[in-house]
Amino acid sequence: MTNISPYSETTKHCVESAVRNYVTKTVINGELTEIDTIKAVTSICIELVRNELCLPTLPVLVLSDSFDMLTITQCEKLFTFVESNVSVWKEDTFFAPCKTSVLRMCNDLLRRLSRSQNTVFCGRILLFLARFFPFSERSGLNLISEFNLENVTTFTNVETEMEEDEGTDKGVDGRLKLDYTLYTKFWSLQDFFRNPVQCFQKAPWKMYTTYCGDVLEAFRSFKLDNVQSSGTSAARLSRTLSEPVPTEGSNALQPQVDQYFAKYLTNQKLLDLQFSDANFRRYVLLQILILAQYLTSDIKFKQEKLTEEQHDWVKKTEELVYTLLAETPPDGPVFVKTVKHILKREEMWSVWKNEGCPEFKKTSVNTLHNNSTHQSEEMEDADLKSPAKKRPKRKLGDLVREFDKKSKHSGVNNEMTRLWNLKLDNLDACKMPERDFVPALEDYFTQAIEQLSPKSDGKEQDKLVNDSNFGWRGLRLLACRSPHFFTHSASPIATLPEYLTTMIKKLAKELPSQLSEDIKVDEEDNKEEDKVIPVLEQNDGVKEEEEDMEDDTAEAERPEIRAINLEEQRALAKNLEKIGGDKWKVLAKKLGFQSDEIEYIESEKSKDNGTVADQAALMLQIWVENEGEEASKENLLYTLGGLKMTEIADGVFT
Amino acid sequence: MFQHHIESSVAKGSTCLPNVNKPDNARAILQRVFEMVSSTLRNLYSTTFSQANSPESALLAVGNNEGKITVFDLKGVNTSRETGVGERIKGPYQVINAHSDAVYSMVSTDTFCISGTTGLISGRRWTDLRKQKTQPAWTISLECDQANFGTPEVNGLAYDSIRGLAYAACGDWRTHVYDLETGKRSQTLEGHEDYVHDVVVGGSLVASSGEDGSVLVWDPRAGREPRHRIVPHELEQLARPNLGRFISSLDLNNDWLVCGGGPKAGIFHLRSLALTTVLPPAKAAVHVTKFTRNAEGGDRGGIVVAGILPHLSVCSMAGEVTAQLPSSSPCIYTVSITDKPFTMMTYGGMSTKIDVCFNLNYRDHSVSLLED
Repeated sequence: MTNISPYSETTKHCVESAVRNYVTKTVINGELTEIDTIKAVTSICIELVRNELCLPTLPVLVLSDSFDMLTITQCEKLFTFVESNVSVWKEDTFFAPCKTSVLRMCNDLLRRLSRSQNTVFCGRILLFLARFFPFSERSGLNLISEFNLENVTTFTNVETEMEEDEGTDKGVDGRLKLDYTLYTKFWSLQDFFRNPVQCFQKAPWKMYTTYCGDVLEAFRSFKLDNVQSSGTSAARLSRTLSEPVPTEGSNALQPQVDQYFAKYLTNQKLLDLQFSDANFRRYVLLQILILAQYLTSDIKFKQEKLTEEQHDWVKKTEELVYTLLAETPPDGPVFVKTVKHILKREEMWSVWKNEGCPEFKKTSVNTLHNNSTHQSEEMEDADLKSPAKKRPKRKLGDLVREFDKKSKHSGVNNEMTRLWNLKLDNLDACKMPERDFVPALEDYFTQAIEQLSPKSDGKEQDKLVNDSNFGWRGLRLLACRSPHFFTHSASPIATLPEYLTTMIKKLAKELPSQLSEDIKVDEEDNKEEDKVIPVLEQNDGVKEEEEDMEDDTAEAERPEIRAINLEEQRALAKNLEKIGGDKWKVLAKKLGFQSDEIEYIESEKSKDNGTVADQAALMLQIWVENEGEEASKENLLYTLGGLKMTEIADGVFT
Repeated sequence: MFQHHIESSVAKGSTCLPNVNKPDNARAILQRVFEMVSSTLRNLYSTTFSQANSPESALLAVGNNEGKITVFDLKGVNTSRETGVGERIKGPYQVINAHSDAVYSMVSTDTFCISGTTGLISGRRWTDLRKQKTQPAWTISLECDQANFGTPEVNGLAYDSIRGLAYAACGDWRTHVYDLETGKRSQTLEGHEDYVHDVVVGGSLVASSGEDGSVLVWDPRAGREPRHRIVPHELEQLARPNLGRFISSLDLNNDWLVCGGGPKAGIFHLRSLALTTVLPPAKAAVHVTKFTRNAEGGDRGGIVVAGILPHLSVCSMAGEVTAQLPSSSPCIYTVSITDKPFTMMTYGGMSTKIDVCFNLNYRDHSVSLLED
C-alpha cells in the first residue's frame, strides 16, 4: 500500500469534497448523529493521508465541519477523539498543514462555549492546544504581560461616589477614607487583583495594604477548622442543628463535588457564607499570593518596582497567607505545598518570557533548569571552570550505548561503574559467596564505641546508635556473635538506641582483649592460611593476666600503626613492576581484592595507557582507602612475607 | 466598680490640671494647652462600660466612664442588611452628658434606654433619643444605707419584660428590684457579702454575681432566699487565685448558666449545679460572658467571652473557640448582641472605638465614639 504512486491534486480534491459532503450531509443528523461514525470517518481520512490519497488537512476539516454542526454536548464527546489523537496531529505529515486549521477549529469551539458554564470543556480545549503546539509556542502567549482589565467585579457600594472621586484625583488627594465595612473592603480587593499595576501608586497601595490586612484578619479570626474538622460531638451537633450550609462540613462523609464559578457572587448576604467556605477562602488567598508574586518578581514589562518597605510588607503578607491556607481544612498543608509548587513553576515561565521565549530543545533540560534558579546557575558556572568541562562531556546516551555493546552497565562515576559490573545481574552479585559473611563484633561496633566514649564530641543525633539501619544490623550481629544478646532481662527494651547503647557498653568492656587477639588471628591468617592456628582454640582459656599483658603490647604498638603513604605506594608499585608484569595481581589477591576488581583496575589504567606501575599504584591506593589504618607497613610486610616477595619492600620503608 | 479605679482616677487627675494657678499672661496659652492635653488624655482613658441596643428604634447607646452616652443610628445599617449593600455605622448620632459619674450599666427595654450610675438609675425614651432630646423620662435615686456604703453605684442592670421589673446590681451588696410602672422598689435581693457585679434575668429566674466570688440564683416569686449558690473559685478547674475570686459577669439561658471573672469562665448546668465546660481564656481575667441566642443564618451561636485581652472569643458549648475577633481595645468591658431582625454584635472597652460585627465570625468595622 505504501508504494502507491502519488495521485494527482485533482483526485485529492475530489476525495476531499466527497468525504466532507458525506459527513456534512449524511452522517450529521441533528440529535441522531452518531459520533462514532464521525470518528471512524476521520480515522479513515488519517489513513488516506498516510497513503497520500488526499490532502493532509482533510481529517481536521472533517472534524471542524462536524464541530460546526453539532451541539455542545456532542462536541464534547467528539472532542475526546481529537484529544486522544494528539500524537497523530503532531506527526510531521499533519502538523505543518493542519496547524492553522486545528487552531481555527478550537477557537471556533471556544467562541461558542460559555466560560462559566462549560468551564471544564474550555479547559480541555486549552489543554489540548497546549499539548498540540510545541512547548515554547508563543502564539498564545501574553507577551507584554497585559492584564484583563475587563474582568471587573461589581458589588453594591454606598460610597461609590466617594470612590469615583478618588479615581479621578488619586494623586492629588492623598486622603483616603479607609473605614469601609469589611464587605466593601473585601470586594475592593478584587480591583487590585484585576489591575495589579495600581499597587505601584501611593494611595492605592495604602488602600490595598489596609484592606488586605483587614480581610486577612477576618480570615484569621474566623477559624474554619473548628467547624469542619469533625472535632467534638458538640460541634457536630451544632452543625447539624444549624441550617444546612451547602459549603460546610460533610467532606468526611461524601466526596465534595468540585464547584467552580468563573465570577464571584458579591451580594452582601452571601458574605457570611462565603467566609465560612473553605474553597472561597482559598480562591481569595490564592489571589493575594498571585498578586504578591507579581509585585515581587522581575518582569520585563513591569516598569515600577516596590520600595524596600513595601517589599517587606508583601513578604510578611505572603507568609501570613500561607499559614492561613495551611489552617484551612481540608488538607491545608498539602494545598500549601501544591500552591508553592505551582507558583514556582510560574516563576520559571516568567523567567523564560523575560529571556524572550527561547525555544526549548531536548538537550537543554539543564539550561532551562539553571535559568530557573540563580543558585544552580552559579553551580553551573563553577562546573564550566572546572577541568572536567574542558573536554566536551560525552553524552550519557552514547556512554550507555557503548557499555551496552560490551554488555556492561555504566554508572555515573567509576566507582558506580565498578559496582554495577561486578556481575551482569544484580541479584547474582548479591549471591556472590564473598558477600556471605558475618562481620566481627568489634569491626562493626568500633565506631559506635568511640562515639559513646565521653571524649567524643559528636552530636547526639549523629551517633550511629540512633541510625535505625545500623541498629537493625547491630541486633542481627549481636544475635550471631554476642552472648549478651541472650541474657535474661526482666526489664523490657525501651528504645533500640538505648538498648544498643547498653549493649555496646558491655561490649566495650571486653573489647580491648578481643581486639588484640583478633589482630593476632588476622596476622596468622595472612601468613599461613592452611595451618590451624593454635591461638584460636586457646582463646577461651586465656587468663586474665595474659590478656592484660597483651593489652599493654597492643597499646604500645598502636601509635606506630598507620597507613602507608603515597610515596611508599609509588615506590612499592615501581618495585612491583620491576619483578614482573603480573606479580602485583598476586599481591592484590592476598590483600583481599576480588578478581573482577583487579580486572577493573587493570582496564581503568590501560585505558589511559598507564604502565604496570600505575596499575599497582592504583591498587595500593584503593587498598589504603578501603582499609584505612589497617593498610599499614606491618600488614603489608606480613603479606609480602607470605608471598616471599619481601624484596619489593626493600628500600621503601625506612 | 473598683477594678476600674486606676483609669478613672487618672482621668480625674487630668481634668484637675487646668485649675492650677498661673500668672495671668501665660494663663490663656496654658489654658489652651491644658485643654488640648486633657482632651487627648480623656480620649486615651476613655472607657466604654455599657451598651444598650434597641433594634426596634434602630439606636445603639454606649455609656462611658465620663457619664456620657453616645447614641448611634443603626437605620442605615438595618436597611443595608436587607438590601445587601455594605454600609457601616456612621459617626455618633448624638452624645448626651447623661450622668456626673461613669455610666456603669445600661439595659434596653421596648421603650426605655435605662442607664445606671452612682446612686441613680435613669430612663430615656428611645423615641426621645431619636428626636435628639437628652432629658431622662424618669430618674430613680437609690434609697440606701448611707452610713455603711455612702452612695452605692449600679454595676449591673437587667430587665424582666414579662413583669416589667428592672433589677439593679448595686455596690451596697444588694440587688434592688424596681417596678417600672410605679417607679417604686418592689423587692431587694440580699445574699452577697460584697458588692454585686452583675445581674441577669432568664425566664423565671434571676441570677447575680458578686465580688465575693459567689453566684446566686433567685426565684423572685418564691422568696427572699437564693435558690442556688455557685462558688466558682472553690472549683479547682476554674480557680485562679492570682486574679481573685470575683465574678464580674454571668448569663442565663434555659438550664445553663455561664459566668466568669477572676476564676475562669465556665458553664454550669442549673438543675444539677454541675460545671460542664471550662472556657478560654486560660490566663486573662474575664469581664463579659454571654450566651448568644437563636443566631440566624449560618451562625452557630455559642458563648461570647471577653476580658483583659485585645480580642473576643466565641466558643461553642463544648468550649472550643470557633472565632477570635480582634478588638480595638486592649480590654473589653461590654458586649452587646442582638439577634433580631439580624445578628449584630458590638463590643467596646478601653478605647474610643467600638467594634461592630454582623455575625459572630469576624469583625466588620470599627466606629469612633468621638464627635468630629
